[in-house]
Amino acid sequence: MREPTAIRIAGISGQGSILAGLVLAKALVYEGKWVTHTQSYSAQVRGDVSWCDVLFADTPIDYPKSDFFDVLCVLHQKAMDELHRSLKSNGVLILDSVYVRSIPDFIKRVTRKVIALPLAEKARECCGTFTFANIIMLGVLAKSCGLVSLDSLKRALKDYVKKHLIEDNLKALEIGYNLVERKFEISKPERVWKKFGAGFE
Amino acid sequence: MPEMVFLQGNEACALGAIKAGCRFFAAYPITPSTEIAEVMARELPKVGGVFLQMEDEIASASAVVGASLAGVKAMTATSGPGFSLMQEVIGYAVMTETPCVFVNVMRVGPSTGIPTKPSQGDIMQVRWGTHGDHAIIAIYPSTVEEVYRHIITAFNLSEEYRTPVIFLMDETLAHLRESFFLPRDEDIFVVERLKDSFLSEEEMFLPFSESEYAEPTPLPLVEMGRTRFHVSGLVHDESGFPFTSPDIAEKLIRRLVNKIRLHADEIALYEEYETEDAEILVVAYGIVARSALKAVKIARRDGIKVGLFKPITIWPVPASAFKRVAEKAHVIIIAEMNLGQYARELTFVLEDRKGKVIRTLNKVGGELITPEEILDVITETQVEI
Repeated sequence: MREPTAIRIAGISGQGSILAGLVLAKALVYEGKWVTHTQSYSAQVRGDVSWCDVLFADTPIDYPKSDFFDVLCVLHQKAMDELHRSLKSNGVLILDSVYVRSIPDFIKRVTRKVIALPLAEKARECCGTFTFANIIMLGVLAKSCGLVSLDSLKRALKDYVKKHLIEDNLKALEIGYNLVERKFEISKPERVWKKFGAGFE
Repeated sequence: MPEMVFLQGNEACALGAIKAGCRFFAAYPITPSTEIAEVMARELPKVGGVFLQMEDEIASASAVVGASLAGVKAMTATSGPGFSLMQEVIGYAVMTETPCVFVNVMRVGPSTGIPTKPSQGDIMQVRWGTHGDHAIIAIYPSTVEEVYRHIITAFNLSEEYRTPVIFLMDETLAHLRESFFLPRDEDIFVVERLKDSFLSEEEMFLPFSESEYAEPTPLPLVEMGRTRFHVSGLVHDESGFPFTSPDIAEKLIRRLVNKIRLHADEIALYEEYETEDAEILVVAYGIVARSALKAVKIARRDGIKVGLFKPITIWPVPASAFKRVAEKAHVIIIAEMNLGQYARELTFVLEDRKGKVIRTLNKVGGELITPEEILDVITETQVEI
């Protein structure tokens, strides 16, 4: 039984991590995948940790949540402190080095696939405000993990972004896509469940 | 080829309701059902419907009953605290036999609880929330596709049986976005309200009379117009005017209950997976059924004879189907995100246990029951039998 590929995008409320997850999920739908998108947020409008989980597979997904993620995107230190343990061994970590100052030792033990980029700074350079960091991060994700094509992301962006902001968002996506050269393969080996039943000692 | 869409549970609920012919929606926004109101406010005016934000949930529910009596299909959506306020009006809708749909997105309770976390704590409130003897229909889907499909079923059942239908979701399902194939128009069946031209010129419309069939089947409600009739929450005769005679009361209340109780098998919706040879039967509904399905699939691969029974109509209980499936099972595992509300009912339905072991798996902290947790119980049970 193959587990669905799982991606978690986390930040603090207001950074647009849930929007980024929506665009990613819609892009995956355009590519013909079965997708689920769950979100978690608190009552605070700004400042508390919020995140969304995107799962996709070639077959319908039974259980829409996952404990561990193939790709973890982190936009803020607070989210990093709270959620870094949800990264799978050998998973990909993408982080915004402007807001994430320290990477926990745990990460260094489980993976070497870490992409740290000053996303917020790049956003300020290209679009004048750091709020585009989430979209730049999507570009980085598309290039480095190869899970979704840039064209599908562009098409999905148009569904969720206000008309007068589309130009800037498309620009941000391109910038993100051209920001990295490293490419990782997300392999999905069959998950081995421990054998159950009588006689298992 | 049907169209692949990507919708949230709440969005699917609202769009499905419009598909079913809902043209009136009154609600007071409450997390986690707010998106239903948002989508309704945007989409209803486009199809000539009316959206009202009322001052509270009691007013919302009352407006919905009024709108339905006036001839349009109507719905409201709320969560636990609001649903508690609506109980009085649900009773009124039962007594006046008004078709309408109440959506209740369950969150952790009692009281305001945790607004953004899921729970299944309202199962018994749905059944017995309003006072007096009554029967109720409640539907609880577990995927976004089912939400879209069964909100239409909810409207159909409410028209057919002239009763309020409670449509349950939980926070996770309501906020879950999922891709699915949208059912095509030709695959959707919608029960329409009868026009008043259905009645002949001289005919007097008695909306509360018993049908001529042996079994109590409710008469279809006819659109308001020429067919004015009196409506009262008091015990009434077939014309709708209040009477206190014990005979009339006895007849009325029995009819209200029997019209659903005697049709339970026709109303029942459920799904089963690998139940033919199952020695262990997992029963789960709503979002937990998805965890259970995954657990059952994994256990099956290891050769454990386990099956899943998922009731979709929570009330009335799909009793004959459950009894049939449970017949062969030695152990029944009931997983739910409350402290055993439905387990109690299922144990009662089973009547004769014949040495069956019933195990429950409960969680009320606002977190989903994971497939691993269900798997653990299955494994423990497997060792025992």
